[in-house]
Amino acid sequence: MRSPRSRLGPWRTHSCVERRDSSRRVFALRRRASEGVPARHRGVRAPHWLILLLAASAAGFAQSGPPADPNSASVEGVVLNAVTGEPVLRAHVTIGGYANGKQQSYGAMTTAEGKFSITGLPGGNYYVQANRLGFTFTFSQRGPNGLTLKPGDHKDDVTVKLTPTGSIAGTVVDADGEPMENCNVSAESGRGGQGSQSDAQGKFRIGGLSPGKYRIKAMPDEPGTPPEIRTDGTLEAHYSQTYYPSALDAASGAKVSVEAGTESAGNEIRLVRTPVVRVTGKVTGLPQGAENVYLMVRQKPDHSRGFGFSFAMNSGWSTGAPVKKDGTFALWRLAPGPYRIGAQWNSPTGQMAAAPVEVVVGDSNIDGIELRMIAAADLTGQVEYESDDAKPAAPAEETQPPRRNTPHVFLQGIDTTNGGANGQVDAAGAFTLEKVLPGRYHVNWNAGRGYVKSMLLGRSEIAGQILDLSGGAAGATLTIVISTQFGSVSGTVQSDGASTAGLVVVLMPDGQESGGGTGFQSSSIGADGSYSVNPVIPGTYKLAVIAQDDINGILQGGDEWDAYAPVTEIVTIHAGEKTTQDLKILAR
Amino acid sequence: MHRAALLLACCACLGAQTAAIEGVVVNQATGRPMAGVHVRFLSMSSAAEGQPYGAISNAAGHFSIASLPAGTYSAEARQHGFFYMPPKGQGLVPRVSLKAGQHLADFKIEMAQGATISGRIIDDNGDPVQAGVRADAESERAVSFGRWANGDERGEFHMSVAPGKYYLVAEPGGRGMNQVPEIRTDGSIDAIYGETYYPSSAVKGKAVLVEAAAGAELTGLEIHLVRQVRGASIGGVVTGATDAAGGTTVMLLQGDDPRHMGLASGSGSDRDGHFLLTNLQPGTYRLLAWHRNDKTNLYSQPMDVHLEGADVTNLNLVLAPGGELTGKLEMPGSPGTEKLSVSLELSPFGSFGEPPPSAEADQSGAFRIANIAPGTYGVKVTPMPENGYLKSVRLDGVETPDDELDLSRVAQGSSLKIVVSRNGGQVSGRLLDKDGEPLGAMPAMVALVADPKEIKLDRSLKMAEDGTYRFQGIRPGKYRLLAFDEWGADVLEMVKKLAASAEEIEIKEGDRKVKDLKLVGKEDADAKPSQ
Repeated sequence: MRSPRSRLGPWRTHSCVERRDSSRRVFALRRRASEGVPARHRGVRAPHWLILLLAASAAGFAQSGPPADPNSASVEGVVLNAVTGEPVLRAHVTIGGYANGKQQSYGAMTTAEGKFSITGLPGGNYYVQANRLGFTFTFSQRGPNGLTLKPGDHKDDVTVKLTPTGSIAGTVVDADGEPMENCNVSAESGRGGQGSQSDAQGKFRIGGLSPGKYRIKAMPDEPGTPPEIRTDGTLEAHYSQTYYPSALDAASGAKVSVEAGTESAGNEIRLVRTPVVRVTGKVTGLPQGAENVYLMVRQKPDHSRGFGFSFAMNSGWSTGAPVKKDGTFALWRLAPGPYRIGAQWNSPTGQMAAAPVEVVVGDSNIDGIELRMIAAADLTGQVEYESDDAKPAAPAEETQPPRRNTPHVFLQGIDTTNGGANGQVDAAGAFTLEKVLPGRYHVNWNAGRGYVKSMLLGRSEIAGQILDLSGGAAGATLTIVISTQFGSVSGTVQSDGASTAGLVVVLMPDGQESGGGTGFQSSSIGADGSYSVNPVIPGTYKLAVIAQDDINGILQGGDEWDAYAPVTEIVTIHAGEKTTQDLKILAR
Repeated sequence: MHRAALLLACCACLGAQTAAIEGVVVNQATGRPMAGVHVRFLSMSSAAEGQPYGAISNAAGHFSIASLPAGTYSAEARQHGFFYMPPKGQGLVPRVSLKAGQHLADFKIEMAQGATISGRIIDDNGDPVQAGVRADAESERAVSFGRWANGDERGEFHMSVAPGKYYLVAEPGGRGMNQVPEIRTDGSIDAIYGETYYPSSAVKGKAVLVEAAAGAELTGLEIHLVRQVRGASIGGVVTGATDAAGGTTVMLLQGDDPRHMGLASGSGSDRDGHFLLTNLQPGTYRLLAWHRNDKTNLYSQPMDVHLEGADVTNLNLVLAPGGELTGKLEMPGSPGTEKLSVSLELSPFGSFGEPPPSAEADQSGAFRIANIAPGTYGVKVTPMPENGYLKSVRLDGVETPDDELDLSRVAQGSSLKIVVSRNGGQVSGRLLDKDGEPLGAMPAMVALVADPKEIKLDRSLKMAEDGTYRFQGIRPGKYRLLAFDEWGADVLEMVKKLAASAEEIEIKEGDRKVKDLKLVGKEDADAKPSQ
């Protein structure tokens, strides 16, 4: 009889401890390779590098202080705690910019009085940022235009205000109120996210948070295995990722408010128990023996921003959800909610992909999904101009190097990672988009004064910019009609005397799926409350006055817009017409 | 009631293909049974890979899985605040193999209460620093307990570890290689802090071990970061870009052996083509620049730099179009109906993030591959016939190993001749355990090694799942053939040792050898030095 003496191989690890450790290492490696990002927050989503963009008014150059060096400029200032007004000691101030054809940054540390001084700056345009652990940033009231210095300038009134960060603490418990260890807990807002892990008592703490409202989510540490088979009469309890206080989807969860320099404590996340369900199917259309087929699983909308994206392969290292040699796959324990599942294969001679299939994971198994692999194919086409002014200006002569704006048609992938394609448009309007994978694309045009008004794929007409190539691009021809009949929208923001500082008017295609930010436009609000977005591609849009801080979250597919529903206007912008729409601001 | 019914159902299905496992969970420190521990066996056999079988220990510490398919499993056990402590030499996740009809009744699981370690990371000013902290177990076994904790914005860290002695290492992350050093005019220092062992040392030799006893709560450990000497810079200019619309990327590889260099950093160049990679430790680096155009890419020759202390900032990487090869693929005896393609895989990392250069051969076997970046390549023919192998690869008439094709200076008009033989050797057989019994459905490694001194693991190693193995398409020659079922982190060293003492076999063109293979172990390699 053989005793179980065999060692664990490096290829297959099933230990939770080991997996976490190895993923951490991969993460660390990536961080090291990434550019200029401090590798401080290992295993945490967005590194919280405190950046402050600060502007100086053109007027008010003080000429006191050290004698002016005629060849260089100098800057003095102070860093203050935005809440208490006290000076911040040993804050790191950086003034950086592009001067004399080189990117260079200048640094200083603040004194006990919060003061800093930098001399010897060449004339140029600079940004100013300050950071100190435990502080976040605030925008200067002067706007993010930077600091313009001329040789001989001495600027001594730069004030940088740093806001102390807050934190969220609490516990993760199961359905019986027992602590849950090793859960990944993350706090997310429009400004990014941070994460932590629950300890043996289920406790967690996420610090370094800018003041604001956060969704917190706990993800139990569970591999994606089938349900556990037991013969001792006990039952396996499976918990899904859960939003505070105890919700399966973000919208049903509550937000936690974080104030500057304070801790929001005692937040209990009670994990929700769900049945273990599977999603199975088959990847078809692959040549025999195809290896390394990737399954792409994306949660929709992608609130998790990166967490929801996973790969699985049919050979080598597996995530527990491989595409097997016969093309079948099984995904277990996906958190409830809508998903897109697609597949991709890089053969030695070209790519194949299957347009994603949408599934909604709930309480029961989903079987029989077919992912039909289709080879990338070239798509040829023709650009037609609705009017002469839509035509790009012919280059006067061959320039060397060639102009950046040679006319191009761009396909931007909506569904998956297949980024898209672009093709140069020749003088006769013809283009070829090479190696286009099946899927849906947003079609853009970069030259001249025009937009994609409609398309003709083979014989079918398409209004707008969305091209559905789920069945593949082979053999198809595409006609793109470019129009210059833009519309516009303008009006007045009615704030009833309230400040509109930090607010912008935002226009986004109605019904657009999260992410990407295609068609997103914004306008600042004038002193008289006026705004104007021009030009706008005709279509139906959502329009609202939104806090600048929420824009990132909206662009990344967050639900920050939901809060603005009472003041959101739906406007239809027609070709060649000016639309007027007054807007209200959200009552605070 | 419910439980009885389940047990009955399981007894009914207990056939020849199933096994059973039971045992007891105890606290390692007290020897007392532990209740409520989640014990789990995860199938590693190919038929049911990933299927878990679980149980919860009862008041007597007893757990039982009455029926599970014969095969190999990995064992895990979980309880809040405790760690599973497998017997020495079995790694963190021991494997257990169950034969059909076997009832393993004495599987013992020892758990140890974890210890908590917490403390703070500070810099020279005593200010908190946010950094990750790693706990390295004292012993340098390939598989050992280690933990990681993210520090927070107060500089504090908190982690829970299995009982043992640890080195605590703070990893402040240093400075990016693309960051141009900051200019300071106020007398302050732009300090870079390096990896620091508790309490304040850059090297392990001066570190203090932290002894974490079961259940202990160690608090207030302060790691005072040590400063790192700023590394030197490598910089220069990339010239030859013809299209301002594209982007130029400079890649930095690091390593003493050019064939095994790792990617150290990447950087873009500015509008004038200047690039600078800073804070590099002494060593050998290789730089490559590539420029993405609409249609074709431009590449520089690889440039090797040996960095000692001083900056090297006068490099000029000249971009040029990729090389082009024409070639002929011959496969004697082929019906010629199958379309074959030839692809080139860049060493050591595959490609520049794009599909590798490749082409389909036409009916006469002719092919042309364009846009080849300078570098060393491996040749791949797909699909390879069942027993096919690359019999000959000749670059401009010179025979070259098929994975060491030097295309650094491939001229336009270079030619590549590839001969594929359909008649490679084959060796297959059963795997036997050390008593000479058939191994059955248990994972093992099989290696076919041409030269024990220079082993290419990706080419010579195979995992056998069902007790049989088969190597096909073997190039004629002398080989060492061996199988083993115990391996740690350093498989290469292991195979080297075992191969040196393994029996040599000769495989000729067209051979169909059948050979049963007995597993060898580490002790075999140590006992029998190379003959």
